[in-house]
Amino acid sequence: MFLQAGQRPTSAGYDCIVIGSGPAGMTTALRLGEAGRRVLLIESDFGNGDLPFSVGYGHFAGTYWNAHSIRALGGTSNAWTGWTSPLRDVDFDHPTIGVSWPITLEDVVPFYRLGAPFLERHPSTADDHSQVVVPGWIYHPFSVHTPTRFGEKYRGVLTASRQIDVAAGFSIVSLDANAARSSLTMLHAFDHTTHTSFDMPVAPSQAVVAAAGGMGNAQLLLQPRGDGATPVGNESGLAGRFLMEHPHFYRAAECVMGSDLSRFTPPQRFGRSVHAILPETSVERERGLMGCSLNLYHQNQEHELIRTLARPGVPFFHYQIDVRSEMRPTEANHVFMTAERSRSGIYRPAARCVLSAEDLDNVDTTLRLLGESLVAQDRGRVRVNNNVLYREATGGGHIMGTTRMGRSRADSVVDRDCRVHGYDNFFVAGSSVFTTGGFANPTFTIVALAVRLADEIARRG
Amino acid sequence: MWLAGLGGGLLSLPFVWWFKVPARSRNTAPSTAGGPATYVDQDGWMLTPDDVAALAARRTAP
Repeated sequence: MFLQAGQRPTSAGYDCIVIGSGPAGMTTALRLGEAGRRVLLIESDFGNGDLPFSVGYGHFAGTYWNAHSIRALGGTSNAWTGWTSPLRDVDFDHPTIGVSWPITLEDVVPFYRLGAPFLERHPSTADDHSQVVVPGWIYHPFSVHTPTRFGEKYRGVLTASRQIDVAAGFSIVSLDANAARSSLTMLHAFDHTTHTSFDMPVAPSQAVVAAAGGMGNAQLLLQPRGDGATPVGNESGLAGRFLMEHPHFYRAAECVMGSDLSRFTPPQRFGRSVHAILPETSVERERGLMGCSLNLYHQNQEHELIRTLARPGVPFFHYQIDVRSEMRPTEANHVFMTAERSRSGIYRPAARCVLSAEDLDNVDTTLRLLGESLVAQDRGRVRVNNNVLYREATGGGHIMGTTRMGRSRADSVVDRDCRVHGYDNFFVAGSSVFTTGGFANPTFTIVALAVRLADEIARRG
Repeated sequence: MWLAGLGGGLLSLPFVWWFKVPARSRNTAPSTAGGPATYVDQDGWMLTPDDVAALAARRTAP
């Protein structure tokens, strides 16, 4: 149920307190509710009125990040396009980047299947639908089903729930822990209606899940303390580091290809999809490439190369190519705190996110490999649009990696169970835990990991 | 020696390479070991020598 307007939440009586109601927090809360756990779901719910930050450096400057930090029930699902795809096995153990998650695709697949219905997708969306298009290249479709707006979709469920209480209009602005930094002890909260602060004690038996988004989670774990001590949750020193986006390049290339991609469309239960091809994993490994999905759209059939290449029995098709690609995680790309505080008292973050030459060259090389593959097999030709590739990169609004998952405090913020290293009762949900970003819009993986986290919290009792 | 090295380095920059090769079609080294040699026309299409000839013939055909 929703707490009544003006009713201040208390933490007593809940098994779990979830901070943020986007796809990560909402899924965690719903799944825990299904397991019979009592959950308090806290949502700032002030839209974009009190922007969390106003500074950006690098390729995503100005107010770019603000557009993707939505403070409302349902979080960034309110702006989601509906595009998503699971990560692949190579994304979890990434030889090019030289990083592996502490979990594998095999660990997550069951949770992709459980998570798909939260996104109104069929569980088989988690299956590998790859098919070879031409040697070295596979068809790997994107799911582009109607986006699930978590706020609209689950408001009724939350209203009727006896397990989940929703406190809208409240923010958690900082955290306290015990001296050993093994347990959260206090959430410092702000009431956006009365503009007053209050405290919510946390018992060791209560789980706290930070699910405030890729920017918000880092912001929470980086809040400076009055005593000058390390911010609670940033004992690793890595909160905010390894910020990743998904570089997007619209009309980065075009091709004429002797393959009708309509033949590869996945089964109807997959829902609406977009044609996408990418190098086979073996090619990626051999060439040292990062993830790069080429999304192909049918163009008119008047191109002169179609007539030039056409031969009996082999029709050629003209496609526009948009690119969604991976970005190498580096410490230098990071979220950090400014000296500015919002009305709630929370320090505002800024972000530095720079696409490297390698990030751009990865896309260039992938496109040229496609060109060479098609020439070598006489299956088509490719045109690369250099200007788009090197001057018009944009992002997807995907804020990843800022509380990355790993094996210890030496390399990460959270462990394989999304628990902040060293803490018993402090967890993180969302794309901030991604160790690598892959090329795919992250919502599906966010939800899968949230289901997995909820099951882990439910198991601990 | 140093200048020669610098020149070689500059040639790896696309715009320098672009100005150096005056022909309509430019040869580019394959990205893959053993990959096919392709030409890039002024629109950026990666073509074969046969494509270039076929397109030229098509464009000049009455």
